[in-house]
Amino acid sequence: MNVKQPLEQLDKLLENRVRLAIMSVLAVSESVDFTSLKSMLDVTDGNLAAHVAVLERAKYIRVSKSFVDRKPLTRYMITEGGRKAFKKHVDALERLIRGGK
Amino acid sequence: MQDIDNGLRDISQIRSMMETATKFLSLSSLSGISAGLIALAGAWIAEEILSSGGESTVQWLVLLALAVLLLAVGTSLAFSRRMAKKKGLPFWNATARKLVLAMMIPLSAGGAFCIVLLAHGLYVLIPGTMLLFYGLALVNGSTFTLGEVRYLGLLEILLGVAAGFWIEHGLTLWAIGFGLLHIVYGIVMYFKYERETTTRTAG
Repeated sequence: MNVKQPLEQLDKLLENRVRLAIMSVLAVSESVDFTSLKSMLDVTDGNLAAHVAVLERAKYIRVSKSFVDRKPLTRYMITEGGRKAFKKHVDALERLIRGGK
Repeated sequence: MQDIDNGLRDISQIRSMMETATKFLSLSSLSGISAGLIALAGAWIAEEILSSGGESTVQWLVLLALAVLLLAVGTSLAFSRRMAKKKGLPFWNATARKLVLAMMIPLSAGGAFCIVLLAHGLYVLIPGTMLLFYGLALVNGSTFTLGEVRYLGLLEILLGVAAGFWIEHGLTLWAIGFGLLHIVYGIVMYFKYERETTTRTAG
């Protein structure tokens, strides 16, 4: 059972459940706003904001801020790098599970 | 072993998140059943209007069709909204918008074509046309919601073609497509997706 290699391939940033969920949603959406993301993930404002900030700093996601009816609207999009990292992480997870069987 | 359990948990979370983000999952089984019952009532009233054969039969039928449409769409939306609330899912989001748009294109084309048929007095083709375009709308929209909607759409298309051939049974086939199929669909969805969650919340 050689699980050592896939374990190393796992992305430390994406081992967090909320961050992994954010990336999953963004991987299949053009862009998602803060409120929708919050309701899909069922997390608090502060929690989501903190995780989003980590992903943004890692350049896994992009943030666009605009105003709609004078209310600020924050939208999130996955970056190319983020997509690659997400795919690599999922592939590693898959290998880990297959290798463990 | 711990890592594998975590991995499996992560994979299932990824899958459910991707599904929530791309599919409108709040279609309630009650929506199907209520729409079906309204359609059956509508077909029955239409039959009465046709057999009485008054002067303004066509006007009455058009009015009836619009009333059935409004009632069916209204109750379906209300039930789905309730379901979204219960599941804690967003009701009106990007996915819901895509679903509506995907359905509105074939539906508008069908509606326009029904007006064309009306204008030319080709009334007998209207039930089949409605079934056909509604089926196409469902097939088109199924990408953004539960996969079973696709099969419902294909069945509606088959019924539509049949109603085109057997125009004397147009209303019956219409009642099967919009009435019976919706009710069957609703019951199937209830047993497939909702029964567990309902008993869980009740218990």
